[in-house]
Amino acid sequence: MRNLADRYADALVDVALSENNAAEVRRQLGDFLELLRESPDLRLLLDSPAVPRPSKRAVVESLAARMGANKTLRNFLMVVLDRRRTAMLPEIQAAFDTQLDARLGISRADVTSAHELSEAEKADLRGALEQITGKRVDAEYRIDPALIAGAVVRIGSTIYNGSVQAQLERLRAQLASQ
Amino acid sequence: MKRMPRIRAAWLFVSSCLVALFCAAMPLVAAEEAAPNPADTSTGLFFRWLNFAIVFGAIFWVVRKFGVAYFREHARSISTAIQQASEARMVAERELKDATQRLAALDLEIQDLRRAAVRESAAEAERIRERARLEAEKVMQAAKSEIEAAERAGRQELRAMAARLATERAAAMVRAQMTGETQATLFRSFVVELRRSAS
Repeated sequence: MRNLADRYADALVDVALSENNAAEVRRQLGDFLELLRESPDLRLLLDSPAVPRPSKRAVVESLAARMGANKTLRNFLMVVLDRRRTAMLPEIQAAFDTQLDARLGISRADVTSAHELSEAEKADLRGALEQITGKRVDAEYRIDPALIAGAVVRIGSTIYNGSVQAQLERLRAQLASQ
Repeated sequence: MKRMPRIRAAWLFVSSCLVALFCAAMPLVAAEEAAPNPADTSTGLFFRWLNFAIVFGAIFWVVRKFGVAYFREHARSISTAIQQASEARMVAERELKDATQRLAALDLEIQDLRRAAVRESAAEAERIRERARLEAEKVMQAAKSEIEAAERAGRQELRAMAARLATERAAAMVRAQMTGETQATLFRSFVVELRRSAS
């Protein structure tokens, strides 16, 4: 199933990059999936084999128009609908993000800090992370006061933990092992 | 050598018969001497002796014809029986000797068995004592190990608790003294550390 999702994502990335609207497709695909997640009825309608395909197409067309989705995404959604792969959309989205990031040379970073970072601090951190990865870094920021101070950065499966909480935890482990 | 005793026995038998006949005839002879009898004449005496000789001859012939073989056979069977008895006696004596020897040996054997039983019982007792000692040592060792493990676990738990309390206290103190400036400084030092790890 993962390979199939990869193939759909690969095709969407190809079209989005060739039409130079990859960022827009990413955002709109995310919005559409958010809509699906929020509406179980819509999900049921799209997944149900009892609903005729023209009705499904009409619903998706209507939603895409209301969302202001571009032609690339509309066509893609119709293809997915026609092939009865709407249940795979979350996997396709994940694969699309990964492949698009890889093609654009982007690394995604999750940054959790104890306090809200200023723009200067964000830029400083992004610069350091780009230095580490050798790629452009696209970061998402979160705040967790439990960290006390410092920040935790996760890029893929790598975690850089510079929080005071982590230092205290290391200290605790050291004391306990003595 | 075997023949001689048999012949002698036959002759002895015949002689005994003659003596018996003579003794039986003595009263008759004495009675006839009392009254004169024609038989007492010399002719009568002759015929009497002739009669005696014929009877004696017949008896002698019968005895010689059948008695010798009979007595010889009898003597042979007696001799065989004596020989067998002798052999049986020898065998019995040998068996008796063996039995006596075995009996004497039996005493020794019983004594050996008794000594062996005593030795075995002592060895078994020693083995049981040794096994009990080993079991007791094992139990002691297991108990000791268990106590040590419990002690280690207790110490570990105590250390962990002390470490947790210390770090919780430290966290509370750090939080209380944390300012925006300190946070910014710590964040900067983290970024510097990241840059250092990149190069």
